Amino acid sequence: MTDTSVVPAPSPPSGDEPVLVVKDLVKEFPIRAGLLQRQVASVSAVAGVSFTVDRGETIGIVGESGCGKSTTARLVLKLIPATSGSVRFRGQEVLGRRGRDLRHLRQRMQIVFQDPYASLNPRMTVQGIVSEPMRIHGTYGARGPDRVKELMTLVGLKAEHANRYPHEFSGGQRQRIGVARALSLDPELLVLDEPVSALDVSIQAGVVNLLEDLQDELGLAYVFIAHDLSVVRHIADVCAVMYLGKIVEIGPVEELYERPSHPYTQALLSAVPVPDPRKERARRRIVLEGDVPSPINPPSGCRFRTRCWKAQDICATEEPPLVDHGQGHPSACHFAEAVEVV
Amino acid sequence: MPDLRTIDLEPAAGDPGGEWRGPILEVRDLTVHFPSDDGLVKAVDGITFDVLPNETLGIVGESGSGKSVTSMAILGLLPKTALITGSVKFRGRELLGLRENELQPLRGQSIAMVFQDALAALNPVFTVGAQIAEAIKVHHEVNSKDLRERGVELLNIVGIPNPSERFDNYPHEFSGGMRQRAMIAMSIANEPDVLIADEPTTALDVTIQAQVLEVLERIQDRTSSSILLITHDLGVVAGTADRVMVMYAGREAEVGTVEDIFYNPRHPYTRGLLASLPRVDGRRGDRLHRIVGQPPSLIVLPTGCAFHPRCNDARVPGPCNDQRPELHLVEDAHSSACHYAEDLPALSTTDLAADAEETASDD
Repeated sequence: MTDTSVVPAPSPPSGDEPVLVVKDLVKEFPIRAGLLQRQVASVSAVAGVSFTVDRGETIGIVGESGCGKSTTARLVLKLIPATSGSVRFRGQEVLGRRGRDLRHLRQRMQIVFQDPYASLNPRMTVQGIVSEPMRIHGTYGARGPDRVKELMTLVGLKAEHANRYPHEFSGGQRQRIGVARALSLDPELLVLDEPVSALDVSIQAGVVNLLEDLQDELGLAYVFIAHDLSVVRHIADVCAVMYLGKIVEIGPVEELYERPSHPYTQALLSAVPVPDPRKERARRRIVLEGDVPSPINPPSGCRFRTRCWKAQDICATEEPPLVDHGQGHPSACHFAEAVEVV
Repeated sequence: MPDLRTIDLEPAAGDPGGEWRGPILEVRDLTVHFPSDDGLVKAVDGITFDVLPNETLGIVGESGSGKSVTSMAILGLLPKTALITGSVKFRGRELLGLRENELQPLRGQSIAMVFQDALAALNPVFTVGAQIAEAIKVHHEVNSKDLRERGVELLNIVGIPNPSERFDNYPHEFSGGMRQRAMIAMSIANEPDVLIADEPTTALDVTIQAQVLEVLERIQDRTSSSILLITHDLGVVAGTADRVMVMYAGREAEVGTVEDIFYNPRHPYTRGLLASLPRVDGRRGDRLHRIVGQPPSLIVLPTGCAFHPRCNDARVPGPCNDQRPELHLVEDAHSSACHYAEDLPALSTTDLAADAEETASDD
């Protein structure tokens, strides 16, 4: 370990400073074609996303396939480089860093992936998987094996199972192993990319409860990426709704779910089925026309206007800013109006 | 003991010519076992149910509960290695044991299927229109002009914009939701009596799911066919099904009307499932109920009730671990396969959530 001289270690939690501040984050993937592989167009995957996460807080980022929520997760950890914008973790800029410098910062920000089958190396024992981050960062040492046992117990697995291989565990247990690995370096921030989407409901509940317990116990900040709005309502403090690379509405969960003011949020919430026959059949469902437009050439002005029942001329010419229209939380719609849909 | 598992309707009269009054589909003691190197996999282990005319029957269960295998068995789509016993009758006619050439006229014409993965189910080298046309041609002699007309009409019914242009598109030119709707168009091409929809919306985003569910509803109103809706999503069932069958480890755990199942569940598994759901209309901070353990191996099922190792109400040792509970009527048209179905307290999901056990470890 020599890289401590390069940057000071991220400071321990102090005061009210947010753990993560993301500002105007942009990611464009180039599309290349022809013999010289020249760039002919670009996919605007994330188009100016800003949010902050405090210690012990969970932000849920929801949206449909292709809205840029997983790209955002990867950008935050610089698993892929951003086109522009800023990601500050504990006051330190993540995006400009490289190599050891970046690795050092990443100690305290970890990720849990969606697929518990693909994200664990089948040829490593659980001991090896959970201890790998510590080995990389040189903190394994003599106390390492004990730390692995401690982590196994923390996520609700039996410490003596550390010598087994991933295939000997069920989906829910594997996801717990993924969480143990992410916790091995005492992170302050966990990015959870659809952590329960691949699990059956009865198993999903256990992992959700575990994540909540860990947050209470360790004061972790979560960026929780999901397409399932019910899970986000359950686990998040703040929710951001994304559509075609932009946040269209963001606010405290209760407020956003009770009084959504962006038409897309309203449509999304009204489309989630409620497991209550009388209530479900009495609800008015907003069925959107058509599909999400291509992010290669997104609509001008408001990106949602092509599917919006409220769209007027102004929507095509002027991009609505993400500001509070009097609902208590920001919403990027010219005609924002709170409506109850769930 | 008389068979109480099904709703008693007209006795099955073998008169296929006249107006059929009984259940469209009668499944009796169906078992599907697959031989494997580790032993016999009991994917479906004796289930009995009816599908009534013009109803939507929801089959709910988690991965490996046997819901998809059941639907494949009905249509004779299982591999030859599968060991199938029991009886599946369509309008009183036995389907099990029919030869391929006898089944072929029924498939698509009388019973049609919508698969989960539309991209895999559609042939990438033929246009969507050609595939819809084929579904019609198999059963009817129609000239190509009428075929096209009918195909465009079908695409229109399922809500695909510009149907006459889209008719000539290839599957890759369709979005996920449109492909699923094209699949539905194919399956209703011959106005089947029974439409089996196997997780028709699982791969789709919620707003697209809403579109597809609406299409299914509209089609049922139009053709008055019966729908067998197979899903793991209790929310989808709550909104669309008339009756619900909950499956666990290859058997029925509980059968009843949608209201019975959601408001008065009489099987601990159903109750656990309902309490483990995070809800979009729920409150943050409510603790989710967690069903301890994991679904059993289908090779070595637990003795007695297959659910007893995960059941909070199990009385072990006792009937729960040494006697297999049979599905029995607990109230009008509502049956449960739990020894203590009648003794379960009235449901309150908050109670269930409150005593959610956190011993963890073995999900």
